[in-house]
Amino acid sequence: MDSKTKISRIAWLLQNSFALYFGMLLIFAVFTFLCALRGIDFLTPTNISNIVVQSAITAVISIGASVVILSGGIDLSVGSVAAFVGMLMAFFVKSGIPIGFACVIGIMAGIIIGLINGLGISYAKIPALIMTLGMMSIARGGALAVNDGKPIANFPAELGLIANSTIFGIPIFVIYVLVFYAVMVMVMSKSKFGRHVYAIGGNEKAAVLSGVKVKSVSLAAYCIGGMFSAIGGVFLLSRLMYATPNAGSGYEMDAIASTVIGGIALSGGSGKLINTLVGALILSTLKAGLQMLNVPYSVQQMTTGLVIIIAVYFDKASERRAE
Amino acid sequence: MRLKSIGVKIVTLAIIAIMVLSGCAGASNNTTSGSENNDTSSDTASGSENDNTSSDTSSDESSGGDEKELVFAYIMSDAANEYSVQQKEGVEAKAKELGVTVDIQSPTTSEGSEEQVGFIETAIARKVDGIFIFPNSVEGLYTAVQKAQESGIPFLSLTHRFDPDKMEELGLEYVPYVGVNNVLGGNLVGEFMKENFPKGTKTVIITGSEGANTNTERLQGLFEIVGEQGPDCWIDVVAMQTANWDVEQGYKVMQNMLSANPDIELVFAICDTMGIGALRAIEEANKKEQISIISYDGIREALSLVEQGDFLATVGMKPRDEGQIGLQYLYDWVTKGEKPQQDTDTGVTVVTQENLDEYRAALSE
Amino acid sequence: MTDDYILEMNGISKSFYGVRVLEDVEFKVKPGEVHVLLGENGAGKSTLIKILSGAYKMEQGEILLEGKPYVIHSPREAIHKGVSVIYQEFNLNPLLPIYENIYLGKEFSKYGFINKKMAVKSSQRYMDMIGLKVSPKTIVSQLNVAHKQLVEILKAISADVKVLVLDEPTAAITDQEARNLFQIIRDLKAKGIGIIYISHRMQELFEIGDRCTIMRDGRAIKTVDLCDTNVDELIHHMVGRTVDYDKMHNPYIKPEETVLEVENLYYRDLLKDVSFTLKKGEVLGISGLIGSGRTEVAKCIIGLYKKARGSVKINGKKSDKPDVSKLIRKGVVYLSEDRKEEGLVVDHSVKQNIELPSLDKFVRFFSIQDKRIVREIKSYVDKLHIKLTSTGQRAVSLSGGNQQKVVIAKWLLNDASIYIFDEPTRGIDVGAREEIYTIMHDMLKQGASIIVISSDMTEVLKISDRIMVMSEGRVTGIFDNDEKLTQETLLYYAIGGDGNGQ
Repeated sequence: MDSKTKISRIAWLLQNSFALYFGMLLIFAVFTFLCALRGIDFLTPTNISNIVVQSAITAVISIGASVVILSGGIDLSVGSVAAFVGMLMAFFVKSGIPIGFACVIGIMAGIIIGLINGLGISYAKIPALIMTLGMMSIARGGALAVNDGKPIANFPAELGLIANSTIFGIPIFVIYVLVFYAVMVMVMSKSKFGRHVYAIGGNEKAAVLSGVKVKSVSLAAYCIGGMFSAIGGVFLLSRLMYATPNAGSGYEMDAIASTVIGGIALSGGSGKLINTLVGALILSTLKAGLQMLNVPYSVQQMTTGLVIIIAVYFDKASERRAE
Repeated sequence: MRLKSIGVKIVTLAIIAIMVLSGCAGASNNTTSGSENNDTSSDTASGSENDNTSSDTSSDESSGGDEKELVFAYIMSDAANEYSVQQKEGVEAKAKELGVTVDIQSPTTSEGSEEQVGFIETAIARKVDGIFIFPNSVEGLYTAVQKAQESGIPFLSLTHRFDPDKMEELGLEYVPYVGVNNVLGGNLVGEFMKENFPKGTKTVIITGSEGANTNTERLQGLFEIVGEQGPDCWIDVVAMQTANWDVEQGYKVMQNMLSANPDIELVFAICDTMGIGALRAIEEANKKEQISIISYDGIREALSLVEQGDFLATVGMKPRDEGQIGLQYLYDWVTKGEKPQQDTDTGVTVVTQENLDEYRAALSE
Repeated sequence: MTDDYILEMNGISKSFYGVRVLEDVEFKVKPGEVHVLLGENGAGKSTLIKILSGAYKMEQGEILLEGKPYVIHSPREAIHKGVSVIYQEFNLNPLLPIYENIYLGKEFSKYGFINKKMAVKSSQRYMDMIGLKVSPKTIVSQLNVAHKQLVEILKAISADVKVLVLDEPTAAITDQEARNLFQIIRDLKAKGIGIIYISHRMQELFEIGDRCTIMRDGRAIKTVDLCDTNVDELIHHMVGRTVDYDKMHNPYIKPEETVLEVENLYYRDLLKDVSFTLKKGEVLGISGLIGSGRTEVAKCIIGLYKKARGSVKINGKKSDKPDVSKLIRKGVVYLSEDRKEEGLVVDHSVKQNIELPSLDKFVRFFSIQDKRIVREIKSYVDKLHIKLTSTGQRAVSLSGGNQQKVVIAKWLLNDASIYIFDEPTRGIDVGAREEIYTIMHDMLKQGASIIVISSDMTEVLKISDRIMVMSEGRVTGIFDNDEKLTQETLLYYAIGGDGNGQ
């Protein structure tokens, strides 16, 4: 590639995600300003680190949601699966099963739930919205059933190490999240599987005629969705050392919001996974900033909704120009 | 080909039916514990599922030959609300003792009254001997209460109170109430604060779902004692944010409030679950020495934390007692015709390390 | 002389996106006649009818109905004025009963929706007239095709129809039902209604039609009295002067090697007993009218339709379960007629589209070597003369011809050996067409074998070595493409071959 093409390539890349990164900086700038008005320091290392930590679990669950959405599907069960796996793992740990083993069981449970979702959607042709909505309920019920609706507490201290042990002051699970993103970004951009996912999301019929095994790839996407939901549940448990059946509620909306803010179209087929991470950060910064400003909850809700709409509006700007 | 599409349709319908039975999840679910009466939903197992698993407690000793076994209907507030669950356990124990059957139902959401109304109507149709309920909101239940009273079925309320003046206004009989007074609880917290903290202590309050009766009443009670927010208030409330009864939100809210106000000294969490989240945030910020936590509900974990010194105090209630007393009263009403008095207060206590053992002992009676 | 005609269309012209689809068409219908409208696919028949029915606007021309100017702005107005079109896909609401469909959307309905009884009664009268022996309250979705058709006709009659257009009315009904329909048509004729009848079935045309207008390439060529002519003459008019073309010379055929053998292929009611072979290096053209089943044959071969029955042998080996990716691995690929819906992922880049089936070839250490892919793609871009600014360009921004070349490049990169092209030059300008023919020729040189499905007979005759003609799901003829083969012959077999009685 000659240098001219290279430069225009980079420019194109930046331009595409430009709105997103600009938005991120803009939100930071706005809150720094607003907080300063109230005498609060927004840009402290602690605060930034708090925001990063607060976004981490949403970010990890969003990986799964994004992969599913890229393949042209949707997964509404992610939050409930996180809660279910959290309760399940808590139960096993309290029953004396070694923590590492319980962790593995939990993640396997998430993959199995993803598998069931995928089978229903790809093979039984149940619409994804309905299948995952039903699964959301089922997983929620499962979370209640584990301990008859009661939360589980009092774990051995080692459980906290999964999420909370720090390296250079950064809680280790944040590093995990970055590693997961690194791996999955590689998978989605540089592997046959990743390309097939994009193809299915882009045009399923054309994908079939190009030899893509749509059913198995879709199935795998939902398994990935389940897996990352489970990982989110494990982290949540370890960080709070407290398992409740109602945990993770609202995560499905946050995951979809992060995906969408990050520029992945809900219809699938386009968008970069790495931007979902930025989307999660933006969401988290927004919430944290509003709380720091002691804004009433009602206003917080409205602002969050507004930001999501604005983010997608800018994302669609290029589409509108094309018309 | 046609069979397959029919099969798919049946499966879809079945899944929808299961969904409808077990309820779709609300947008923001929350942990509820204690006697929160709130407007957010939580996705829980269906009422009928609960029915099958834990509810039908029939006695082992069957009642005498020609005596018909008594059947009562008990309606919870929320299957995941620990307070409601503990209350249910009290009911189950008492049912065993009395040798009666209690049919337990639980709504899938603690938001809105439709499901509870439905359960009451079903119970009336089944002609049970008595109905008692932990209402999520008394406002939506007036018609159902009227139907029960017209059918002559004794009806009693736990944890949330049907205002007798309102009942009279509607032309209804009074509904006996067993439970606590949230406002009083708030009062106690306020007094505790005044006794243990100097005026002007920098305080943050973590509230539950806005609009929930529990929330409003506890805050009301607090401010009655410490005074309206402002320069004359005993405590300097620097921030008040909701965490919707959820532990993780409690964590995040605390973190962000700390970022904005690094010199907080006191945290009041309107329910224990949120307080637990706040505690984690405080621990991470290494400010345990600096900040005291007062919480509310007295769930098991909170009591442990008080014991360990992580919580300064929590407000304990007696959910099991409520359940037991409620069933007992209902039983007496049916068998002996004695309608219970309007109010029976099961009592709130501010539980600290000092009176912890005493409180625990009282609980297990 | 306008009193002699119930409908007159004069000087009708229309273009789509700069392409002329109707040129100065003159078409006149007498009251009480059945006037057949005949022409190949793309001749302009449906465009003309859509202008009449209000779905399209003409650019030039005038229309007179009963001698008075006919100007409409919507299909509703057309019906209001007495022009009703009955298409193959009915315009009925399947969820409503017959009587409501008949009175659907009529502003002037005397009964509206309030007076149900009268609507039912009135419908019953009409239904008796026509011999439709079901209750007017029957829900339309429960009716069979023939009855639905009758309901449509009743709709028209109850709207005081003056000109009735029937589009392929006997395509989906039995012979007995067709006879019944013809009787009704004769009754309508007696009432002075002008009937425009579109069909390819020669027996019918001669049985029910009075006059016939043949259209070709957007023009009305000739109007004849059906009693004065025969099938061959009609076909001759449909085809026109034989266009001069040089059949492409193909020296690469290896007639000893059979690469594809299809035997007794059946698929639902769309394909009946289709059998043919493909030799290495040859171009087999498949000709026929729309709906004759050609695309279905292709999709059965590549394994898309799981319910197909029959045998498909690739290089002598039978392929067992239909599976698209398996057949692609065997080198059999399908280039869809619908480029945008099935051929390309339009929102993706050219590179993403071309590399998709061949990713396995470029994986090393679990990672895709994008640089290598781009290099190879570029060589195809050059060879095929695809006009691009970069391989990162989105497919949707290319012209039709370039899009088709991208699809071809995709399969060249995949080293496919048997290519099934479905309408390869549809929507592509003349210059690009020639380029694609050249590309195909080069592919043969490299050892490929090609099937071309095309509705353009000139194209088929130009590039094919042998031609198979299909009609209504059957193979009606397989011919060597020598000088003796004409468009007329192809059309004859496309219409039904030796099944065409007179």
